Amino acid sequence: MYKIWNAKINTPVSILDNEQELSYTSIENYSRLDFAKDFTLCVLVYTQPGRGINLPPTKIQNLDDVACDNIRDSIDQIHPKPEWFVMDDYLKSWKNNFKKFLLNNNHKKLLDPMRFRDTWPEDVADILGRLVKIMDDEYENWHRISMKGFFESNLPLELYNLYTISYRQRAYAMQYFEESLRTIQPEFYMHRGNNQKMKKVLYNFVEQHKEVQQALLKTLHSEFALVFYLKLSNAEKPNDLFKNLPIISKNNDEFIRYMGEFKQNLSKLTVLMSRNRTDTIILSSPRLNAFEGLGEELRRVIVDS
Amino acid sequence: MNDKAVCEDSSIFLAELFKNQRHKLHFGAIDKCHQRFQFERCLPPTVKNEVVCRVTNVINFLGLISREFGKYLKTKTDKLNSSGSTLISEFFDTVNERYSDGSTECEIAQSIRLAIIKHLEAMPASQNTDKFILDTLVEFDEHTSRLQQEFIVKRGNYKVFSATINPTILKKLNRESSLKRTSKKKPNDIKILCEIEAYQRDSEKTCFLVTVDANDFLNNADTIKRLIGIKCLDPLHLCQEFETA
Repeated sequence: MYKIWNAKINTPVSILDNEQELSYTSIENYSRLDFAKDFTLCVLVYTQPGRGINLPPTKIQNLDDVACDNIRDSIDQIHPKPEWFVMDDYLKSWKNNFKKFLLNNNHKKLLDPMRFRDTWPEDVADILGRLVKIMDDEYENWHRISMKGFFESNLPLELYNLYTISYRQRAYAMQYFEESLRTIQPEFYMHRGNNQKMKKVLYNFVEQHKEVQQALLKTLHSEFALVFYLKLSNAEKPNDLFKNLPIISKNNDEFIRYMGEFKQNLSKLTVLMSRNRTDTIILSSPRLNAFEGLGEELRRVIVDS
Repeated sequence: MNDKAVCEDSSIFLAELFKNQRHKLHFGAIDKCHQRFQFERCLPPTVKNEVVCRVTNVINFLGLISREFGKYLKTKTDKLNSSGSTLISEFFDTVNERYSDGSTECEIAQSIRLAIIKHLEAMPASQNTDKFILDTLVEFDEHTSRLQQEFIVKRGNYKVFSATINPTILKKLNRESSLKRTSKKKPNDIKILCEIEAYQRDSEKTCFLVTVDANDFLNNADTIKRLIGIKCLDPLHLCQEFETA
């Protein structure tokens, strides 16, 4: 079987479907692809139901601060980093871009600090619902950008399959949490004013959903680490980290390790979600009739090979 | 029946997963038996590696060829029209020259070629090459990611055990005259038997190997049972085996 790593890749060839829509050349722009990944991470961490357990909370951070803390944790695991990389500068730029994206796309509300109150489960569910809707609306565009990245890289299609699976699983997981949170809201509200009982409702929720939540967070962290490592390996200056540059991988030990961790964590999440899905959203690009039968043909080849 | 473990080899695992019509009589046989008898479902590590390789190799090869095709097309034209079919033929003819007739690579290349030709025939008279390539890649990823996802979910329902092969057992199987052909042409099959034997020993469970591979396993079932105490079965006989146990 032809080995992907023997492929000789010449100068990356660019594909631009719509020049303005898919091409980002300035730090002022923010890739929707990056957004889908980064936002998922920060909302998930920010909205961990466990945060509500110490009642009343002494401090609730803003969404972007929480996101930055987690991005910092993921980047701290990546070694070595080039000398020009300065964590605080990167996170400052990330925050600016994140805020601009939300403001430009009518999601300003998500930047408002959350107050802990007796509708906490429903408030968190609303955020997750908004995120699921964003991911659903953005899927087609995200998918085209992702495939553009594949075309311009020397990375295997298997990796981009994993990105696609990850996108879907993240949306399904958040929808699962959204629906679960809405079911506990009535009981939570019923105990308003009674911290002990409110705490118990949240505690039970956390315990019941711990496995999926941990699987989701591990997947997000490991995917972010892999994506960031690849970007860092192909960047020459800070601005490059916010562009969709072609990714050429050296297929070294670090890449294999990061990809292995991502694959392992994503597999666990995918299996868990197959048992917990609600099937409300589909997340599929429009299918062309010309490719009908391709899936069946590939399955036959795999079995017979 | 927690004292029993049923191991599957690649042939039956993939046939069941992808509903291969050659084995349609076997569909669901193991699942039905599992519902009744609740045994442990396992994949020996070599089987797991085999199936992972088969799936990812096919996907990555499809990705490689489609990317090469896209780059080739971009060097030839910015706008595709009916003459695109000539370009497609030229490209895939050179791909076919690199691989033997009837090989897996040729089969995959043929599938890609047919899909791309149909896509070309279905599109408007003249289309931007970039859009054509991106549409094609999106479709390929939709199909292959769904396939990968199915595979991940199915694999997640099995225990992949770790096993330290007993070298004496390995030698015993390799020396057996009726297994000489298997030993030479498919050494992984011998390894799989050794792994199951090791798991049977370590776990103290009675292990079975379920397979549709007649040449290497089923036709040698009596010999294998005599040598290492592992029974090889066609899935259709699994329930009967548990009923009479």
